Amino acid sequence: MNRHDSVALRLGYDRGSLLLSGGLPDRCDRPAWLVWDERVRAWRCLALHYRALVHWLTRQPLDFRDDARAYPDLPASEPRLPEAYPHQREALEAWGRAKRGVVELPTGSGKTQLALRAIAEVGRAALVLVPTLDLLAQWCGAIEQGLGLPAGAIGGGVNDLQPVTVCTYASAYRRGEQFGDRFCLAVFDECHHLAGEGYTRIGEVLLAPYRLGLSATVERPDGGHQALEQLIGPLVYRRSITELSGDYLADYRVETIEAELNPAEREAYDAAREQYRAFARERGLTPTSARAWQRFVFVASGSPEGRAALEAYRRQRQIAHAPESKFAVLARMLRRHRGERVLIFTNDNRTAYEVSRRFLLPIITHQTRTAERRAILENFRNGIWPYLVTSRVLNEGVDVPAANIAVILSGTASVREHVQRLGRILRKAPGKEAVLYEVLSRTTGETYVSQRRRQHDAYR
Amino acid sequence: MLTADLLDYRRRSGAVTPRLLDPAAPAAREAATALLALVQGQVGQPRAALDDALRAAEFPALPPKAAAGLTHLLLERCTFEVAASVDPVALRRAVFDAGAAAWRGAEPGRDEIRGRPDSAPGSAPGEAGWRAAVLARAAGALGLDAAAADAALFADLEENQRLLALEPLRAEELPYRYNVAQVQGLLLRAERVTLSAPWPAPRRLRQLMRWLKFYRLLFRQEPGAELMLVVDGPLSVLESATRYGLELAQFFPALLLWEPPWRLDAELRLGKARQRARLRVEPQPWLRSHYPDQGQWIPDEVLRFVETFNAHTSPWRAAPAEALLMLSGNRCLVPDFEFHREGADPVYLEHLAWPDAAQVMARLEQLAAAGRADYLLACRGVPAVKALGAHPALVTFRRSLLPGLVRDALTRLRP
Repeated sequence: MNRHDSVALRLGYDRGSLLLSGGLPDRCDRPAWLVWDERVRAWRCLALHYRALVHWLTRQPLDFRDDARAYPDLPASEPRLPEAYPHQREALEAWGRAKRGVVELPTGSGKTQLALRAIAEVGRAALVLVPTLDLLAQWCGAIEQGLGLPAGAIGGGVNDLQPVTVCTYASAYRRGEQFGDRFCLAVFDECHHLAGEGYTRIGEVLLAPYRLGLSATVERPDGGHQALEQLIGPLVYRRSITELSGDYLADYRVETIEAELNPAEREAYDAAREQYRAFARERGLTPTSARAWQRFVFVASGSPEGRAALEAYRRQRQIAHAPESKFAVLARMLRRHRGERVLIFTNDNRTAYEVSRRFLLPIITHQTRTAERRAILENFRNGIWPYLVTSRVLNEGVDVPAANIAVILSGTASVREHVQRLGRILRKAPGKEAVLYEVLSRTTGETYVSQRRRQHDAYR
Repeated sequence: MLTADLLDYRRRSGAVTPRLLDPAAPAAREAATALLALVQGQVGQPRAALDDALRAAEFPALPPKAAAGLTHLLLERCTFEVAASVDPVALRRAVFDAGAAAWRGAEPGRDEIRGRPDSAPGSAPGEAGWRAAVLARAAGALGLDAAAADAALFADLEENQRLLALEPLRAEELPYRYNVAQVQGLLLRAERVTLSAPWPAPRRLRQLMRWLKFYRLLFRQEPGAELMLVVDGPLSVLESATRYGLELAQFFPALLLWEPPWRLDAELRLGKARQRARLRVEPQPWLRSHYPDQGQWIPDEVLRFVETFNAHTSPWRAAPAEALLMLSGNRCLVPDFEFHREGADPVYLEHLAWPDAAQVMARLEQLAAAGRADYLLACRGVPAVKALGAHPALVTFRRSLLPGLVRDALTRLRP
């Protein structure tokens, strides 16, 4: 069979890509992403291009049989969705124009409800992608309650495909091409994850012509968010925390508390800081940007003095993150907020485990297994264990409406991290005022880190 | 397998050269010996102690990446265990229950959050005396004392797990493993791999083909004066990266067993920007396979099929295929099985690992053009293949190739 001798075309889905079998006319203006695959003697492109390919074939016009899409209509059901907030209506309208795009809304402002409305409106099979197993369980509950449909789940050892299915990014990365043709709408929750190296593949193997991205913080410091436009669509709607707080989010305040290093800590901190700064100075390195920092690490890794300087850097950081006085401050906070729901965030697991050990508080880190994690979150939600320690794994996504106090014992300079952490306590509840405590070690690098993350307007 | 940050290579004009260790050099030998002794000496100790000891070890004669890579390969061979007399999860549940009850019973905090740190441990919630009392209460309910409970509270964390054993390895082997892992790490990022060699003896060619099939690699043969096989890389548009990439990486030590001369050329995509680069590997003394050389080895699944097929009464007898069937343009067919019947020419069968309608179609056309009516193709009956309709040379199956299906096809072909 010659690739130019026929115009009878068949479009098929083939493990993450589309295969267009049959000949294309010689003089057609073929899209650059449609390539000839000699191995199978057919035209091939990523499944991502399904919508564009169908449009192109229709415009030519070329006769083709579409065997690629395998998504069903949603079964009849009775959705029970609460009345939409104005920002949800606006967002849905903005997205609905092309049924492709990203919506940026703060945590607690009803992104899940917005997505459920989109699923109901499209009326065809939908796949919801989430970064964690906690969110997977949360979404399944919301789908069953809101849409009145059984929710399928893929991830954490479960493999149940339904017309509306929730899947973790990790499972979709491994197995996306097995079910990439089965959904018309793809909802990417916390969609900034999709822009990470590797996960972009998920967006490429799904055929879904309709795509909705949801995030509280679309922008990534590595610029990866630019990939979202191709994988999902443009940013179609955005509202900030300050625009929605009070009416649709809980009122909140941010309080900064400075803790002193004790004399021994101060001495060790100053010595370690001077050691790594001296190394950097002598070599003309000023690690003030991500690129300069990479250069510093590269140079330092090459010699014993450099490695000692790196170790000194880590030591001074650890001292600033967890001096004795921060633990004393935390003890007082927990006593003051007795009976309330408190989330304690640290920058690293070591400090998180130290808090858990000292104060005998439940803890969730990346090492916590699923069953224990579920039990801890359940006990936190219903108030049996009112305090919860974590490093970074609960930065996003977990829904705990009752939580009203967040303590940032230590963190990075990332604005996104802090907006996400603040988001954990902003879900509206009657009479709720949320408080975010930021505990800093006085006269250390933490002061600078705090200034950096306070660039966001949420830190009024 | 080495992670991306441990890959060490030089890049010049688009060509990538992995920085390999000279296994005979004292620096590599001494580092491998010292690392093995260090890890072996930590058997029975917590993981954190092992990590500290590894961090403190200095190998100034070795590039830091190489030291980190050797360490990584050794850690992959370690088995760790949880050392605790009680289930840490159950213990934590009891401790957190007791902790929560104690916090609930605390005096409401009227003290200022801002203030001087406490100078001495006291018995107020969150202070040292309070902690010991709560922990003792929770531990007592589980029949433990407070110290044992404290030790077991997070015994299941990675850093607290105990090193149980190190899978044996001779120190002189470690640099070779490192070198092979450097190439494997690059192959995970390959779009296409081309294997070239002067035309080998049929038995050696069959050995190579068997490896390619065993690792389920997608390949095609290019016509030419020398053997040229083009193998799809994990980053080709067709395949998902992870599993296929691992198969390709695992194929590499098998290739190292192959008789020289040969050449591997890979087209790579490196880094976040997926920049194009080329890798060339040829047999050389620093690259040595750790797979046993099984010579003309036949995969178990082939032997199992032959055994099951021949257990039934039938005029046909199955055997692992030995022949290579040459086509025009120096192309060849590499069947997996051959079937003999008294007084008749043999029939061959090839098992296609990744059935694809267009590929099956092309293969059937190739057989027709070569006039081969003695060749069967077997593959899973995925819907796209089924849609091609029945063909006397095509055997489709659901899960595995069953002898009955092949017997029926043989009967249709040679009534």
